[in-house]
Amino acid sequence: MRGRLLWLALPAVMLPVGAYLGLVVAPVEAFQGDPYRILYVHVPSVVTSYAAFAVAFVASALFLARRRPQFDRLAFASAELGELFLTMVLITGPIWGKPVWGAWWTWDARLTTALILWFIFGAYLMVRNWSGARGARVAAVIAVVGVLDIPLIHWSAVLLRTLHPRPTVFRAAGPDLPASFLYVLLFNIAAFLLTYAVLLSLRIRQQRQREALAELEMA
Amino acid sequence: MGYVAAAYLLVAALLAGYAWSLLARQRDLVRRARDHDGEP
Repeated sequence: MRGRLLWLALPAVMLPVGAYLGLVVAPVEAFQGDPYRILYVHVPSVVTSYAAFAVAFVASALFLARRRPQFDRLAFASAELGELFLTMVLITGPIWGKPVWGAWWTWDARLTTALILWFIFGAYLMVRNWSGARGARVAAVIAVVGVLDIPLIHWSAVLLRTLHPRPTVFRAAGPDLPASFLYVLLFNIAAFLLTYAVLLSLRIRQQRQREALAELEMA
Repeated sequence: MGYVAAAYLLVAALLAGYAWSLLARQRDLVRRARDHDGEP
């Protein structure tokens, strides 16, 4: 019980600490000034949404192969959280873009492919929510196909000319950030991933309870 | 700093909203379980 409470309390402590580090402790960036601080919520949201969709991809593929409900439960919960974190990406990105690029949105490859991913998993959630267990197989196919958009998003900023900067942390040559920025960013990434893990475990548990209750009500 | 505050507040609001929806769904489950057991 104590360990469980600690597990639940960790994100509640780490997220405010991460925000404090990003807003107060991290030094100001020379070219952008304060707006660069959005990096500390934007990049962790990106990493967490990719991780969540990757989990949804693996679980959906396993569900299609083995038809076990626990894989569907994991995929559903993870896709829901992936969509939540991707929504954060699509909100914080334009808020960062406006003071730096002078525009809230531009239809370049990076932003457009990210928006497409949001619509794909929006479709997944609609199918999974509204057609119940019957839609699980269709939803799993959408998840497996939809995740293929993630490499497109990542490589679009590397291979194509886009307004969005190239990756500065997750790149083959290693992170291209000063240590004082990098440690704050890594702390925030850890806080966001932990929050995802806690919410995922709660959502799966709730889904299991819902299914058990539905069986009781049918009996 | 207004852009930064807006970004952080919106992220906090989204997380809080999701946590709230989890709690609401849990309350609904508890209510349905009680109804099933015949408790008031």
